[in-house]
Amino acid sequence: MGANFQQSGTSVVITLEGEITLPHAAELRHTLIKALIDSDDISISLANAQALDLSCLQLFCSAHRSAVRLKKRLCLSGPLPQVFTDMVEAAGFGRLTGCKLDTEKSCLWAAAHGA
Amino acid sequence: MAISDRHRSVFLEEANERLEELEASLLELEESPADGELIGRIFRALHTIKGSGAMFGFERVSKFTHEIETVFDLVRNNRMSASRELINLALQARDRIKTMLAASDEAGPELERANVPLIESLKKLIPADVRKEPPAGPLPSAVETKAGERREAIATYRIAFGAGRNIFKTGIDPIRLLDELRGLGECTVVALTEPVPFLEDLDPEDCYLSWNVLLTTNRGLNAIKDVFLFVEDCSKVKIDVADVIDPSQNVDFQPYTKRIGDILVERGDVSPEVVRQGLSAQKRFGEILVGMGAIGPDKVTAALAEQEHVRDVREKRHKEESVMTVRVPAEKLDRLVDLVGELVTVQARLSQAASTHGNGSTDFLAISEEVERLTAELRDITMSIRMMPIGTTFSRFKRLVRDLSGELGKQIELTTAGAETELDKTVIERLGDPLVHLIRNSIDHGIETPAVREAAGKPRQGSILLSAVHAGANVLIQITDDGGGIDSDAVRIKAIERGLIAADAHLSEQELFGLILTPGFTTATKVSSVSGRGVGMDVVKKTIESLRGTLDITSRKGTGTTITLKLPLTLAIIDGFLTRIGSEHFIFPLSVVEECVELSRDDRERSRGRHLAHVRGQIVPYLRLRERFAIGCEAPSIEQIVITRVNDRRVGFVVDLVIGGHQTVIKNLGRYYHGVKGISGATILGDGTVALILDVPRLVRSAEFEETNAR
Repeated sequence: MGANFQQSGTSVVITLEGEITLPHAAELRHTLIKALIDSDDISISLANAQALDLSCLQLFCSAHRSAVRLKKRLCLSGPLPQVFTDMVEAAGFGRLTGCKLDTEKSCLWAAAHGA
Repeated sequence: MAISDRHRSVFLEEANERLEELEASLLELEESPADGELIGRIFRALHTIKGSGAMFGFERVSKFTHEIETVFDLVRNNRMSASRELINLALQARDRIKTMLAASDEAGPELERANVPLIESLKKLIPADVRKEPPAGPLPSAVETKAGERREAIATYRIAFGAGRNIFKTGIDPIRLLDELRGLGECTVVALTEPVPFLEDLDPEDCYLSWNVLLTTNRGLNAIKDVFLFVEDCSKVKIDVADVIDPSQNVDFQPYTKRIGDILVERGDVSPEVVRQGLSAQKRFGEILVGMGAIGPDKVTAALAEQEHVRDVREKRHKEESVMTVRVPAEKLDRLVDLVGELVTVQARLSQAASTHGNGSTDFLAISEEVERLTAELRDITMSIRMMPIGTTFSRFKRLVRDLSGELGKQIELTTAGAETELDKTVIERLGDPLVHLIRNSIDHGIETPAVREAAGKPRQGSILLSAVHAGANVLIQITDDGGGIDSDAVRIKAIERGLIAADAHLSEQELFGLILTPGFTTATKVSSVSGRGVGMDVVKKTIESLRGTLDITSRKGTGTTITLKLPLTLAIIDGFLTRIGSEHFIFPLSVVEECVELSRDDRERSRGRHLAHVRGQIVPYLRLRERFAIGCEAPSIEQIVITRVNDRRVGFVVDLVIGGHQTVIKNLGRYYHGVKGISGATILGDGTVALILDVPRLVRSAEFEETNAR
């Protein structure tokens, strides 16, 4: 898995590449924590992602919750690759419309399903 | 004995329908090999043939079908893919089944032996690792005890699947389990993400997720439990039954409670608008609970998903049931149509009698009008029963094109349009062979080989478009190809060769194309197994004409050819326009009549023998039917011209008197009068006299012909 950072001020675009799966989950978590510390506006691009799994979706969900709690913005930048949207549907995330923490109505899965 | 024969023939009819479905689905599958719905359809068709085959004594068919069903079961469970080879073998197998069903009992063993190599080839396609598994036959949950009743006990299960923290470490992917559940039936999956902690508390290798799954299946509880066999230790799985569709109960009984809003509106206490506003202000129940803090939104989402899932499944089932059809022997239907025709005739007489004799009695007139209304409705419905969408004919051509183009080494795609266009059943049946012939012509002579096409700057793949559309009282069926077109020079040469035209004759392109329709004509230099023997086109023309239709050919060399068939919508009853000349009655098909104008004797004499009338600034030529049909007596001083439109041209017909609209039940003239040009049939009027129905296009054509020859 590769992670590319494009920082401009307090915004960052993180481009994730390759396999974003369980063996890389710890690394991904670390990357996301760093982004939440350094930036206020985080955009994750999956354009170059080859494979994802449930651990990845779980991490994104967790990161988003943390962002909302910290009053920061975290989103997935589109267009979302087929491999991601397929995974979202297969994992049953497609029907989610936001949890009780989602005060900003910025649930990642609601946005992904609409895409 | 007679009873079981009847059952056998019902089974054969249904089995052949399943085989048609099977073929169509297999061809579709070739285009989209991963389409789960198609694969399911194919599997179910095979399953039905297997089951009912066994029930009706077709054991060999059943055994053979079982082999193919087994393979498709593997495809259905994603254990193997639907390759082109598999589809080829499946199509061949389908043909074999058809042969076996039609064959006699004695031919059975031999046919069975012939199937062995096919079964071997099928088995070879199964991936090696899958082959080693013991066959997983579904538990017989089908209630197949009575003939015709093939419903399974379907239940919707609510599955709460808590994956467990350590599931990732076991190497089992929960999503794979969800996919296995999907393989058992219709599935709605909602993930529950509430327990996922914030990033700093999250262990990335743990799984905090659980799922609510709604599964509608007939495979039974055990099949579901099997899915979770290997995660029993670390996961929590709870399975409840959410809904059962009991096939023995057809009606969903719900006690009727009138709604408050409706009652208030009926009493006049509030307006419907206010009720609407009130309802939209109402908070949904789930929202209320979330607001109370009683549950999290994800639980509401999951419950809503269940509500939707159950409703959709029931609705779908209800729709399937209400599209039930009734089988009726065709002869009964024909008899019904005949009777309706006679009823229409008698009703016309009744109406006439009522208007002549009923003036003293309002009852008589009223009753006669009511009978007229009911008869009209009966006529319309009966006619519509005989109407079927032409798509049923279209589908058999896809196979034809596929096989034939393969045989000839050409690449051709057949597209269809207007498959839902409806035609009389008899017309559709008789169209089958002509259409086959026309398509074969396109494939054989029209579309060029890929190499030739490429050299001409065309795409390698040729296309044939088969379309049907309603146009007024007719249906237009077109076969359009983008092939090389008809070489009118070649046609000319061949026609001269055959002595059909003189060497120096000057014919228009249309006329040259028309020569193609003469018996024995073909410009094909090679006679293939497909066509070229020249026995086709004239037979096609005869068939179309016997259906009171027309056939037209247009073609551009290098670009392609279009054959247009124009057929009337119904063979039996048309709206007619009744007229009289002398003491004879004639009927024009109302669909071609545009208007009537007067023709006085002065007008006639003024035009000095030219049969031309001025109608609102336009010149309209007319025919004097009186002369044409040699009707003796003298013409009245004022005649009428019935102006018709044929092929975008206006032509008038002179009659003595215009009587008006008349529902015309068409009766054939009979063999002896078959050759009479210009009359397409007859009908019986209210007073019992016979009126002749005019073949307007024919009359116009022969008049034009005479005119050109006279010059």
